[in-house]
Amino acid sequence: MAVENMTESTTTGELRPVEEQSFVTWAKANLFSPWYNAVLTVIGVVLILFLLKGTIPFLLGAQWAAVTTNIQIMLVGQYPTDEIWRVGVGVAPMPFIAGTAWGVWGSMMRTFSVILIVAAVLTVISSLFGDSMTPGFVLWFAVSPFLILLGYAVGRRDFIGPRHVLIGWFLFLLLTLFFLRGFGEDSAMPYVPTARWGGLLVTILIAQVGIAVVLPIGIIMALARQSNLWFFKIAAMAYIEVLRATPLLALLFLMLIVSPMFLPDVTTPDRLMLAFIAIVLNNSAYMAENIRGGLQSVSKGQIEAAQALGMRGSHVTMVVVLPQAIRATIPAIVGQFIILFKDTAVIALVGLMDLLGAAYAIILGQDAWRTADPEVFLFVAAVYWIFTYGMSSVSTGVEKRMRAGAD
Amino acid sequence: MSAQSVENEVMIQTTDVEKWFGSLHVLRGISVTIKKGEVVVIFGPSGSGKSTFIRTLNRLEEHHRGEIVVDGTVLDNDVRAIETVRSEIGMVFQQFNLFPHKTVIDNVALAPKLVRKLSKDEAAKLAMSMLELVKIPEQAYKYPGQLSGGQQQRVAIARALAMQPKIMMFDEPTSALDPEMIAEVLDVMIDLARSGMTMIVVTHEMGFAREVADRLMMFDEGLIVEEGTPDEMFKNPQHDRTKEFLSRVL
Repeated sequence: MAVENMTESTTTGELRPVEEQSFVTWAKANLFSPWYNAVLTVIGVVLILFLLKGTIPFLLGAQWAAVTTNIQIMLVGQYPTDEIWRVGVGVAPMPFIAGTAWGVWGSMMRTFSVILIVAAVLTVISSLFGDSMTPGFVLWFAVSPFLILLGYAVGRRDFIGPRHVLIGWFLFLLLTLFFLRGFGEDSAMPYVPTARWGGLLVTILIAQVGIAVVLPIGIIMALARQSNLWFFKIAAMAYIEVLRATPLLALLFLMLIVSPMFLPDVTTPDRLMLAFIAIVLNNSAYMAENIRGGLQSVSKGQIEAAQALGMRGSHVTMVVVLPQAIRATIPAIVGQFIILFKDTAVIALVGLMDLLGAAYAIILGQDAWRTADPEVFLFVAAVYWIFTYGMSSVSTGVEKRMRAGAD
Repeated sequence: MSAQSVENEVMIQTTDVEKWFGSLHVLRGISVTIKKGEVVVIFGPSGSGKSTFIRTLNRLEEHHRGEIVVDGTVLDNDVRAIETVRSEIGMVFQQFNLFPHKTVIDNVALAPKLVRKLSKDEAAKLAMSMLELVKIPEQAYKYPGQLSGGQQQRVAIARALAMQPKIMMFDEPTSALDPEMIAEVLDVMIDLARSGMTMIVVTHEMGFAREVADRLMMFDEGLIVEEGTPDEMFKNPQHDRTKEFLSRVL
């Protein structure tokens, strides 16, 4: 604002100084004329005061201890305290991979990484004002920015490309899951059932594994729907249309309550897995439709050019059509990832302990925090916002690159 | 093999080729014989079937009657035969149709890698030499969207040539270009014609036809109404439709 007032470009492109304005003249020009702007200004001021009237006393008296004393439940749910080191080690590759993605893709991933660093630093700083966080947690948040920067340094190297980041991410995810799940009772890492996983850990795991699974399923379904083979076409159409017509919540209840009735008695279905499947089914149907739109946007001339060169049908699809379709749909794909991330919150409604579920557990489970719901939910909202804002900044970056870039 | 017999080798033979788009009879019996090294220019009003005809030669369009034989291979529904023929016929389109997500050199190297199974290095080397042939090696690492129309069309020619085809087909290669870019594309095509390439060119660039064509064909309403050498066609056209059409484009 200040800079804009200093100079103003003229039609000839040169800069000329603008005469200094007092606040009163500025306000008169911008806030009070013509008359309807004056009305809007007054309404705006009243609304702001109205909001402050509630907010300021709340902020002054806020019981942030509801969040800080329960930070462990918020982060990892009921994961056994003795085994929490496994979460720290298992999840440590995530900031590292985020950093390599920043190094490889550059500006597109910068905001996301910076947000993660800032969030980690703020967490460490806030831990100084109370002793509710165990040293282990503080250590993890203190180390993670360095892991991001280390990843960045690795990602900058020439021999590390997008392919390595994606493969690395996938392998690390599997490793993380193994680490969290553990092995036999007597091993160094005893089995921890998913019923005890929770908090932000579960939210992030479901979102990441979901993203890794939903995109391939979406691509396969979109291609199958365009196939000339009637079986694939019908199967894909049924998959997409049935799942898109089912509300996620209904699907979730169906999976958790109805599906165990059809499973053999010997298996105890993993509730978290069933909830995960519901989220994947729902989101992959939408993903398929996004990608189908992209497939249709590739011109017939592209296909003909590839065919005229003698390429096989599979090459035409995989090398020429699909990459262009995905490029054209990246904003929609990232949008779907954001939706998936937020969708993970519905599992709280079937009693699972994701971030939102942990919040419910804190408020409803402990008398001390029954009135602290605004603080707890504000914190939860802020955490969701950090990640969704990070993801949408990636989307904006991709769009910018595509506009400036080759195509 | 004597030079004479090489000259007479038949590359493309079509017999009474017919095609319909729904009820529209677009090709009404086209019979042509094109020999190795021949440069054939096809012209005629829009909707006369000239583009459709050359697109049947590499099966971008299916013909419904008659026979098409390309370098000894009969074109029918056999996918193998179609892929063989396509890899022997290079095609250049009016709209270039370069792959926008790949660099210029990757555009050219892609089909040799996937179809001819060349190694990455061999394909890149081949691609570079093709770009030198069309005189834009310096654009190799740009994307198609960063090039002018004329440059893009020259890359498209290099891409087709990289498959080392026996025949090159051009479907109105200069129609989408600004006037000042037409010459750079035609120059490349003239060089190619002089190098002995068998070429079928749908174009209204009569200067090009006069300079390098061995034979001209005038298409109208799905038929070849007249054909002959440039001299015969320009100086002494027989058919009224040819006279009328040439008077407008010359």
